[in-house]
Amino acid sequence: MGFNNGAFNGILPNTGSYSNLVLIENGIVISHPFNVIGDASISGALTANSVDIESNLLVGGVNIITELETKQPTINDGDLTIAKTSGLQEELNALQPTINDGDLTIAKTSGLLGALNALQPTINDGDLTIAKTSGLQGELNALQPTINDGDITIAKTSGLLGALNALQPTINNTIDITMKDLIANSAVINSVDIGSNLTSIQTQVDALINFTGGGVNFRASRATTQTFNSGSTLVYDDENFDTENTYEPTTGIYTIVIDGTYVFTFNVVSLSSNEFQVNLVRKRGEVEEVLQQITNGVNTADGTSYYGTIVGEVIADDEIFCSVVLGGVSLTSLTSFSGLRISG
Amino acid sequence: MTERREVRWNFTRYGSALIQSYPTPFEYNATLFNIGGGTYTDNKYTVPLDGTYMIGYSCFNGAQNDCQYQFYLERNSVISSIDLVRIIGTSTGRSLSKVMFYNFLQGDIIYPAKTVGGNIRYNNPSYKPTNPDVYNSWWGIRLDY
Repeated sequence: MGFNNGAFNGILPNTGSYSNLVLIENGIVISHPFNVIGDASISGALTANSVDIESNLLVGGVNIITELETKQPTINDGDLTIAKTSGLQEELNALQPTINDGDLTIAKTSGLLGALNALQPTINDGDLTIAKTSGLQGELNALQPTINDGDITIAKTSGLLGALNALQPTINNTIDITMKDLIANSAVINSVDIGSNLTSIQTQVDALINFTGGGVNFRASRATTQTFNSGSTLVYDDENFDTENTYEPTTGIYTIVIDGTYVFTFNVVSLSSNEFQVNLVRKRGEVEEVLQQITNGVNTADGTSYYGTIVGEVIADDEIFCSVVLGGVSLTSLTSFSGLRISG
Repeated sequence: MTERREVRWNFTRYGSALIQSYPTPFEYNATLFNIGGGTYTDNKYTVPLDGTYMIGYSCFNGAQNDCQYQFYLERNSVISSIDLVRIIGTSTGRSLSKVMFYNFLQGDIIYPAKTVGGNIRYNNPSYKPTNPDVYNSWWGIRLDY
Protein backbone atom coordinates (compact mmCIF):
# COMPACT_ATOMS: atom_id res chain seq x y z
CA MET A 1 0.00 0.00 0.00
CA GLY A 2 1.40 3.43 -0.81
CA PHE A 3 0.40 7.04 -0.33
CA ASN A 4 1.89 9.67 -2.45
CA ASN A 5 1.78 13.02 -0.94
CA GLY A 6 -1.30 11.93 0.72
CA ALA A 7 -2.62 12.60 4.10
CA PHE A 8 -3.69 10.05 6.54
CA ASN A 9 -6.87 11.83 6.84
CA GLY A 10 -7.10 11.07 3.26
CA ILE A 11 -7.28 7.45 4.18
CA LEU A 12 -10.79 6.44 4.83
CA PRO A 13 -11.52 5.16 7.14
CA ASN A 14 -8.46 6.37 8.70
CA THR A 15 -8.76 3.92 11.50
CA GLY A 16 -7.69 0.36 11.62
CA SER A 17 -4.50 -1.42 10.69
CA TYR A 18 -2.53 -1.53 7.52
CA SER A 19 -0.31 -4.51 6.85
CA ASN A 20 2.82 -4.64 4.89
CA LEU A 21 4.98 -1.80 3.87
CA VAL A 22 3.40 1.61 3.78
CA LEU A 23 5.18 4.18 1.72
CA ILE A 24 4.37 7.75 2.38
CA GLU A 25 6.04 10.85 1.01
CA ASN A 26 4.67 13.19 3.59
CA GLY A 27 2.53 11.89 6.38
CA ILE A 28 0.25 14.13 8.37
CA VAL A 29 -1.74 12.43 11.04
CA ILE A 30 -4.55 14.85 11.77
CA SER A 31 -7.00 13.32 14.10
CA HIS A 32 -7.61 9.69 14.04
CA PRO A 33 -4.79 7.41 14.94
CA PHE A 34 -4.03 4.41 12.87
CA ASN A 35 -1.63 1.54 13.11
CA VAL A 36 0.92 0.43 10.60
CA ILE A 37 1.56 -3.24 11.04
CA GLY A 38 4.90 -3.88 9.67
CA ASP A 39 7.22 -1.25 8.33
CA ALA A 40 6.41 2.31 7.34
CA SER A 41 8.65 4.31 5.13
CA ILE A 42 8.20 8.03 4.98
CA SER A 43 10.36 9.82 2.54
CA GLY A 44 9.14 13.23 3.51
CA ALA A 45 8.08 14.69 6.76
CA LEU A 46 5.89 13.07 9.34
CA THR A 47 3.51 15.28 11.21
CA ALA A 48 1.57 13.74 14.00
CA ASN A 49 0.51 14.34 17.53
CA SER A 50 2.19 11.15 18.63
CA VAL A 51 3.92 8.20 16.97
CA ASP A 52 4.29 4.91 18.73
CA ILE A 53 7.12 2.90 17.22
CA GLU A 54 7.40 -0.60 18.56
CA SER A 55 10.83 -1.63 17.25
CA ASN A 56 13.01 0.40 14.98
CA LEU A 57 13.07 4.07 14.05
CA LEU A 58 15.40 4.44 11.18
CA VAL A 59 16.47 7.93 10.26
CA GLY A 60 18.84 8.09 7.36
CA GLY A 61 19.56 4.43 7.93
CA VAL A 62 20.46 4.93 11.57
CA ASN A 63 18.32 3.25 14.16
CA ILE A 64 17.69 6.07 16.56
CA ILE A 65 16.37 3.79 19.28
CA THR A 66 19.47 1.71 19.22
CA GLU A 67 21.63 4.79 19.30
CA LEU A 68 19.73 6.20 22.24
CA GLU A 69 20.20 2.99 24.13
CA THR A 70 23.98 3.48 23.83
CA LYS A 71 23.85 6.93 25.52
CA GLN A 72 24.36 7.70 29.30
CA PRO A 73 20.90 8.44 30.64
CA THR A 74 21.94 11.26 33.05
CA ILE A 75 24.99 13.47 33.22
CA ASN A 76 26.06 13.53 36.86
CA ASP A 77 28.36 15.95 38.66
CA GLY A 78 31.94 15.35 37.56
CA ASP A 79 30.99 13.26 34.52
CA LEU A 80 32.12 15.88 32.06
CA THR A 81 35.69 16.98 31.51
CA ILE A 82 36.44 20.56 30.48
CA ALA A 83 37.20 19.17 27.00
CA LYS A 84 33.71 17.73 26.70
CA THR A 85 32.16 21.18 27.10
CA SER A 86 32.50 23.16 23.97
CA GLY A 87 34.27 26.48 24.46
CA LEU A 88 34.73 26.04 28.21
CA GLN A 89 38.50 25.79 28.04
CA GLU A 90 38.73 28.96 26.04
CA GLU A 91 36.48 30.76 28.44
CA LEU A 92 38.51 29.55 31.37
CA ASN A 93 41.72 30.60 29.71
CA ALA A 94 40.32 34.06 29.29
CA LEU A 95 39.71 34.40 33.06
CA GLN A 96 42.22 35.88 35.57
CA PRO A 97 43.97 32.83 37.00
CA THR A 98 44.21 34.11 40.62
CA ILE A 99 42.29 36.76 42.58
CA ASN A 100 44.90 38.77 44.40
CA ASP A 101 44.47 41.11 47.33
CA GLY A 102 42.81 44.28 46.21
CA ASP A 103 41.62 42.82 42.86
CA LEU A 104 37.98 42.86 43.82
CA THR A 105 35.89 45.94 44.45
CA ILE A 106 33.03 45.80 46.93
CA ALA A 107 30.68 45.93 43.96
CA LYS A 108 32.17 42.74 42.53
CA THR A 109 31.31 40.79 45.66
CA SER A 110 27.67 39.93 45.77
CA GLY A 111 25.89 41.24 48.87
CA LEU A 112 29.00 42.64 50.40
CA LEU A 113 27.95 46.31 50.15
CA GLY A 114 24.56 45.55 51.59
CA ALA A 115 26.13 43.61 54.40
CA LEU A 116 28.56 46.42 55.06
CA ASN A 117 25.79 48.99 55.08
CA ALA A 118 23.94 46.93 57.67
CA LEU A 119 26.94 47.06 60.00
CA GLN A 120 27.45 49.67 62.78
CA PRO A 121 29.68 52.28 61.14
CA THR A 122 31.89 52.92 64.18
CA ILE A 123 32.58 50.94 67.32
CA ASN A 124 32.39 53.38 70.16
CA ASP A 125 33.67 53.03 73.71
CA GLY A 126 31.50 50.62 75.60
CA ASP A 127 29.83 49.15 72.50
CA LEU A 128 31.49 45.79 72.81
CA THR A 129 30.93 43.31 75.57
CA ILE A 130 33.68 40.97 76.58
CA ALA A 131 31.79 38.18 74.84
CA LYS A 132 31.93 40.04 71.52
CA THR A 133 35.71 40.13 71.56
CA SER A 134 37.14 36.81 70.57
CA GLY A 135 39.43 35.35 73.17
CA LEU A 136 39.17 38.28 75.52
CA GLN A 137 37.34 36.40 78.26
CA GLY A 138 39.91 33.63 78.11
CA GLU A 139 42.74 36.08 78.33
CA LEU A 140 41.07 37.80 81.26
CA ASN A 141 40.53 34.52 83.03
CA ALA A 142 44.17 33.72 82.61
CA LEU A 143 45.19 36.90 84.40
CA GLN A 144 45.91 37.16 88.15
CA PRO A 145 42.63 38.33 89.72
CA THR A 146 44.19 40.68 92.27
CA ILE A 147 47.53 42.42 92.35
CA ASN A 148 48.85 42.00 95.84
CA ASP A 149 51.62 43.87 97.57
CA GLY A 150 54.92 42.82 96.13
CA ASP A 151 53.46 41.10 93.06
CA ILE A 152 54.77 43.60 90.58
CA THR A 153 58.41 44.28 89.98
CA ILE A 154 59.61 47.61 88.74
CA ALA A 155 60.29 46.02 85.36
CA LYS A 156 56.65 45.04 85.02
CA THR A 157 55.43 48.61 85.38
CA SER A 158 55.80 50.51 82.18
CA GLY A 159 57.84 53.63 82.54
CA LEU A 160 58.40 53.25 86.26
CA LEU A 161 62.07 52.50 86.07
CA GLY A 162 62.61 55.44 83.77
CA ALA A 163 60.68 57.69 86.10
CA LEU A 164 62.68 56.45 89.05
CA ASN A 165 65.92 56.97 87.23
CA ALA A 166 64.88 60.50 86.51
CA LEU A 167 64.49 61.24 90.22
CA GLN A 168 67.16 62.67 92.43
CA PRO A 169 68.87 59.65 94.02
CA THR A 170 69.42 61.24 97.42
CA ILE A 171 67.65 64.02 99.28
CA ASN A 172 70.40 66.18 100.67
CA ASN A 173 70.35 68.99 103.11
CA THR A 174 70.31 71.65 100.44
CA ILE A 175 66.91 70.62 99.23
CA ASP A 176 63.78 71.84 100.90
CA ILE A 177 60.95 69.39 101.23
CA THR A 178 57.38 70.57 101.19
CA MET A 179 54.70 68.20 102.23
CA LYS A 180 51.12 68.26 103.32
CA ASP A 181 51.18 65.69 106.06
CA LEU A 182 53.99 63.88 107.75
CA ILE A 183 53.33 60.77 109.74
CA ALA A 184 56.30 59.12 111.32
CA ASN A 185 57.08 56.89 114.24
CA SER A 186 59.91 59.12 115.29
CA ALA A 187 61.53 62.38 114.33
CA VAL A 188 64.99 63.52 115.28
CA ILE A 189 66.06 67.00 114.25
CA ASN A 190 69.52 68.25 115.08
CA SER A 191 69.91 65.31 117.45
CA VAL A 192 66.76 66.34 119.30
CA ASP A 193 64.15 63.64 119.50
CA ILE A 194 61.12 65.73 118.67
CA GLY A 195 58.77 62.80 118.83
CA SER A 196 59.67 61.99 122.40
CA ASN A 197 59.89 65.58 123.56
CA LEU A 198 56.63 66.82 122.15
CA THR A 199 54.81 65.60 125.20
CA SER A 200 57.32 67.42 127.31
CA ILE A 201 56.82 70.55 125.25
CA GLN A 202 53.09 70.30 125.71
CA THR A 203 53.64 69.79 129.41
CA GLN A 204 55.77 72.88 129.51
CA VAL A 205 53.27 74.91 127.54
CA ASP A 206 50.56 73.81 129.92
CA ALA A 207 52.81 74.71 132.82
CA LEU A 208 53.52 78.09 131.27
CA ILE A 209 49.85 78.76 130.75
CA ASN A 210 49.24 77.67 134.29
CA PHE A 211 52.15 79.76 135.47
CA THR A 212 50.93 82.88 133.81
CA GLY A 213 47.55 82.13 135.25
CA GLY A 214 45.87 83.46 132.19
CA GLY A 215 46.17 86.93 133.63
CA VAL A 216 43.89 86.30 136.58
CA ASN A 217 43.77 89.44 138.66
CA PHE A 218 41.53 92.06 140.15
CA ARG A 219 41.73 95.43 141.85
CA ALA A 220 39.16 97.52 143.61
CA SER A 221 39.46 100.79 145.43
CA ARG A 222 37.18 102.94 147.48
CA ALA A 223 35.16 105.59 145.67
CA THR A 224 34.29 107.70 148.70
CA THR A 225 35.62 107.75 152.23
CA GLN A 226 33.89 105.33 154.52
CA THR A 227 34.50 104.15 158.09
CA PHE A 228 34.26 100.45 158.90
CA ASN A 229 34.04 99.19 162.44
CA SER A 230 34.72 95.88 164.09
CA GLY A 231 32.76 93.01 162.67
CA SER A 232 32.42 94.48 159.21
CA THR A 233 33.99 93.53 155.91
CA LEU A 234 35.89 96.24 154.09
CA VAL A 235 34.07 97.15 150.93
CA TYR A 236 36.26 98.51 148.19
CA ASP A 237 33.32 99.49 146.06
CA ASP A 238 35.03 100.84 142.95
CA GLU A 239 36.10 97.88 140.85
CA ASN A 240 39.03 98.83 138.62
CA PHE A 241 39.52 95.52 136.85
CA ASP A 242 38.49 91.93 137.44
CA THR A 243 39.45 89.31 134.86
CA GLU A 244 37.18 86.63 136.25
CA ASN A 245 34.40 89.02 137.24
CA THR A 246 34.23 87.44 140.67
CA TYR A 247 34.98 90.42 142.86
CA GLU A 248 31.77 91.73 144.33
CA PRO A 249 32.03 95.51 144.90
CA THR A 250 28.95 95.55 147.08
CA THR A 251 30.38 93.06 149.59
CA GLY A 252 34.16 93.36 149.15
CA ILE A 253 34.52 89.61 148.61
CA TYR A 254 36.70 88.10 145.88
CA THR A 255 35.87 84.51 144.91
CA ILE A 256 38.65 82.34 143.54
CA VAL A 257 37.94 80.72 140.17
CA ILE A 258 41.27 79.07 139.40
CA ASP A 259 43.39 77.27 141.98
CA GLY A 260 46.86 78.61 142.46
CA THR A 261 49.27 80.76 144.35
CA TYR A 262 48.11 84.34 144.58
CA VAL A 263 49.52 87.53 145.94
CA PHE A 264 47.04 89.78 147.73
CA THR A 265 47.60 93.29 148.97
CA PHE A 266 45.38 95.79 150.73
CA ASN A 267 45.63 98.93 152.81
CA VAL A 268 43.56 100.96 155.24
CA VAL A 269 43.78 104.27 157.08
CA SER A 270 43.72 104.48 160.87
CA LEU A 271 41.26 106.54 162.85
CA SER A 272 42.21 108.87 165.70
CA SER A 273 42.77 107.19 169.04
CA ASN A 274 41.44 103.96 167.70
CA GLU A 275 43.47 100.77 167.84
CA PHE A 276 42.45 98.50 165.04
CA GLN A 277 43.11 95.05 163.67
CA VAL A 278 42.21 94.06 160.14
CA ASN A 279 42.54 90.49 158.94
CA LEU A 280 42.92 89.30 155.41
CA VAL A 281 40.68 86.25 155.50
CA ARG A 282 40.44 83.15 153.34
CA LYS A 283 37.06 81.48 153.76
CA ARG A 284 36.92 77.91 152.56
CA GLY A 285 33.51 76.40 153.02
CA GLU A 286 32.47 77.55 156.46
CA VAL A 287 36.01 77.83 157.82
CA GLU A 288 37.67 81.21 157.96
CA GLU A 289 41.46 81.48 158.23
CA VAL A 290 43.50 84.62 158.68
CA LEU A 291 46.17 84.95 156.00
CA GLN A 292 47.60 88.11 157.47
CA GLN A 293 46.79 90.70 160.05
CA ILE A 294 47.64 94.37 160.07
CA THR A 295 47.32 96.62 163.06
CA ASN A 296 48.41 99.98 164.36
CA GLY A 297 49.11 98.50 167.74
CA VAL A 298 49.19 101.24 170.29
CA ASN A 299 50.09 103.84 167.72
CA THR A 300 46.76 105.51 167.24
CA ALA A 301 47.77 108.52 165.20
CA ASP A 302 44.95 109.49 162.90
CA GLY A 303 45.27 109.11 159.14
CA THR A 304 48.22 106.74 159.05
CA SER A 305 48.19 104.23 156.21
CA TYR A 306 48.70 100.57 156.99
CA TYR A 307 49.10 97.88 154.44
CA GLY A 308 49.54 94.17 154.10
CA THR A 309 50.78 91.89 151.36
CA ILE A 310 50.82 88.13 151.36
CA VAL A 311 51.42 85.21 149.04
CA GLY A 312 48.95 82.46 149.70
CA GLU A 313 47.63 79.22 148.29
CA VAL A 314 43.98 79.17 147.38
CA ILE A 315 41.59 76.89 145.59
CA ALA A 316 38.44 77.48 143.57
CA ASP A 317 35.49 78.85 145.52
CA ASP A 318 37.67 80.23 148.30
CA GLU A 319 36.47 83.67 149.32
CA ILE A 320 39.04 86.36 150.08
CA PHE A 321 38.14 89.49 151.93
CA CYS A 322 39.36 91.98 154.56
CA SER A 323 37.59 91.99 157.88
CA VAL A 324 37.80 94.47 160.78
CA VAL A 325 38.23 92.50 164.00
CA LEU A 326 39.15 95.31 166.38
CA GLY A 327 38.40 99.02 166.41
CA GLY A 328 37.69 100.73 163.16
CA VAL A 329 39.42 101.95 160.04
CA SER A 330 38.72 104.29 157.21
CA LEU A 331 38.78 103.50 153.51
CA THR A 332 39.57 106.48 151.37
CA SER A 333 39.90 106.95 147.64
CA LEU A 334 43.53 105.98 147.93
CA THR A 335 42.95 102.63 149.58
CA SER A 336 42.65 99.46 147.56
CA PHE A 337 42.37 95.69 147.62
CA SER A 338 43.91 93.68 144.80
CA GLY A 339 45.07 90.21 143.90
CA LEU A 340 47.06 88.42 141.22
CA ARG A 341 47.46 84.76 140.41
CA ILE A 342 51.18 84.05 140.14
CA SER A 343 51.34 80.34 139.51
CA GLY A 344 49.53 77.05 139.73
CA MET B 1 64.70 71.96 127.28
CA THR B 2 64.24 73.38 130.72
CA GLU B 3 60.87 72.88 132.25
CA ARG B 4 59.42 75.33 134.67
CA ARG B 5 60.30 74.82 138.28
CA GLU B 6 57.99 76.30 140.80
CA VAL B 7 59.79 77.77 143.78
CA ARG B 8 57.82 79.32 146.62
CA TRP B 9 57.69 79.26 150.36
CA ASN B 10 55.82 80.71 153.28
CA PHE B 11 56.96 80.36 156.90
CA THR B 12 55.10 81.58 159.96
CA ARG B 13 54.87 81.09 163.67
CA TYR B 14 51.96 79.99 165.78
CA GLY B 15 52.51 81.87 169.00
CA SER B 16 54.06 85.18 169.86
CA ALA B 17 57.68 86.07 170.27
CA LEU B 18 59.84 89.10 170.85
CA ILE B 19 63.31 89.43 169.42
CA GLN B 20 65.51 91.81 171.23
CA SER B 21 68.96 90.90 169.98
CA TYR B 22 70.30 91.60 166.54
CA PRO B 23 70.92 90.71 163.75
CA THR B 24 68.84 87.68 164.44
CA PRO B 25 66.67 86.10 161.77
CA PHE B 26 62.97 86.31 162.31
CA GLU B 27 61.93 83.12 163.98
CA TYR B 28 59.21 81.85 161.72
CA ASN B 29 59.33 78.23 162.68
CA ALA B 30 56.27 76.75 160.98
CA THR B 31 56.07 75.97 157.32
CA LEU B 32 52.87 76.78 155.46
CA PHE B 33 54.38 75.61 152.17
CA ASN B 34 57.85 75.14 150.72
CA ILE B 35 57.87 74.10 147.05
CA GLY B 36 60.79 73.80 144.66
CA GLY B 37 63.65 72.41 146.69
CA GLY B 38 64.65 75.37 148.81
CA THR B 39 65.80 74.49 152.30
CA TYR B 40 64.88 76.30 155.47
CA THR B 41 67.35 75.88 158.29
CA ASP B 42 67.87 78.05 161.35
CA ASN B 43 65.27 80.47 160.03
CA LYS B 44 67.31 81.00 156.86
CA TYR B 45 66.17 80.06 153.41
CA THR B 46 68.58 78.67 150.78
CA VAL B 47 67.58 79.53 147.21
CA PRO B 48 67.38 76.40 145.02
CA LEU B 49 67.32 78.06 141.62
CA ASP B 50 68.51 81.23 139.94
CA GLY B 51 65.80 83.71 139.14
CA THR B 52 63.83 86.78 140.00
CA TYR B 53 61.91 86.43 143.19
CA MET B 54 59.25 88.37 144.96
CA ILE B 55 59.85 88.13 148.70
CA GLY B 56 58.21 89.71 151.68
CA TYR B 57 57.59 89.53 155.37
CA SER B 58 55.31 90.98 157.98
CA CYS B 59 55.80 91.65 161.66
CA PHE B 60 55.04 94.03 164.48
CA ASN B 61 57.49 96.53 165.73
CA GLY B 62 58.71 96.66 169.25
CA ALA B 63 58.49 99.51 171.70
CA GLN B 64 61.55 101.38 170.56
CA ASN B 65 61.52 104.74 168.88
CA ASP B 66 63.76 103.66 166.00
CA CYS B 67 63.12 100.23 164.64
CA GLN B 68 65.03 98.88 161.66
CA TYR B 69 64.45 95.62 159.84
CA GLN B 70 66.49 94.30 156.94
CA PHE B 71 66.69 91.55 154.38
CA TYR B 72 70.05 89.82 154.50
CA LEU B 73 71.74 87.95 151.71
CA GLU B 74 74.59 85.50 152.18
CA ARG B 75 76.30 84.87 148.85
CA ASN B 76 79.60 83.03 148.75
CA SER B 77 79.91 83.47 152.52
CA VAL B 78 79.56 87.23 152.21
CA ILE B 79 76.68 88.68 154.20
CA SER B 80 75.06 91.88 152.98
CA SER B 81 71.83 93.76 153.57
CA ILE B 82 69.67 94.14 150.52
CA ASP B 83 66.72 96.02 152.03
CA LEU B 84 65.98 98.22 155.02
CA VAL B 85 62.72 99.26 156.65
CA ARG B 86 62.86 101.88 159.35
CA ILE B 87 60.10 102.99 161.67
CA ILE B 88 60.70 106.03 163.82
CA GLY B 89 58.56 107.58 166.49
CA THR B 90 56.15 104.76 166.92
CA SER B 91 55.16 102.78 169.89
CA THR B 92 54.70 99.04 170.20
CA GLY B 93 52.58 96.89 168.00
CA ARG B 94 52.41 98.51 164.63
CA SER B 95 52.27 96.00 161.79
CA LEU B 96 54.75 96.10 159.00
CA SER B 97 54.38 94.39 155.60
CA LYS B 98 57.39 94.51 153.33
CA VAL B 99 57.53 93.35 149.72
CA MET B 100 60.47 93.50 147.30
CA PHE B 101 61.90 91.90 144.17
CA TYR B 102 65.43 90.57 143.78
CA ASN B 103 67.54 88.40 141.52
CA PHE B 104 68.90 85.50 143.49
CA LEU B 105 71.36 82.79 142.57
CA GLN B 106 71.21 79.17 143.46
CA GLY B 107 72.77 78.75 146.90
CA ASP B 108 72.00 82.24 148.11
CA ILE B 109 70.90 82.30 151.74
CA ILE B 110 68.30 84.91 152.58
CA TYR B 111 66.37 85.90 155.68
CA PRO B 112 64.70 88.92 157.29
CA ALA B 113 66.19 90.13 160.56
CA LYS B 114 66.07 93.02 162.92
CA THR B 115 69.05 95.25 163.02
CA VAL B 116 70.42 98.13 165.01
CA GLY B 117 67.54 99.51 166.98
CA GLY B 118 64.19 98.30 168.11
CA ASN B 119 62.74 94.97 168.84
CA ILE B 120 60.67 92.82 166.55
CA ARG B 121 57.49 91.12 167.50
CA TYR B 122 55.62 88.66 165.53
CA ASN B 123 52.21 87.75 166.55
CA ASN B 124 51.70 90.40 169.15
CA PRO B 125 51.18 88.56 172.44
CA SER B 126 47.89 90.26 173.04
CA TYR B 127 46.43 88.70 169.86
CA LYS B 128 47.63 85.12 170.36
CA PRO B 129 46.89 83.70 166.93
CA THR B 130 46.38 79.99 166.73
CA ASN B 131 46.78 77.46 164.00
CA PRO B 132 45.81 77.87 161.19
CA ASP B 133 45.55 81.66 161.43
CA VAL B 134 48.60 83.54 160.26
CA TYR B 135 49.22 87.02 161.47
CA ASN B 136 52.82 87.34 160.32
CA SER B 137 54.95 85.38 157.92
CA TRP B 138 57.90 85.54 155.58
CA TRP B 139 57.52 84.27 152.10
CA GLY B 140 58.82 84.30 148.56
CA ILE B 141 58.05 83.08 145.08
CA ARG B 142 60.16 82.71 141.96
CA LEU B 143 58.63 84.68 139.12
CA ASP B 144 60.63 83.25 136.22
CA TYR B 145 59.26 80.49 134.08
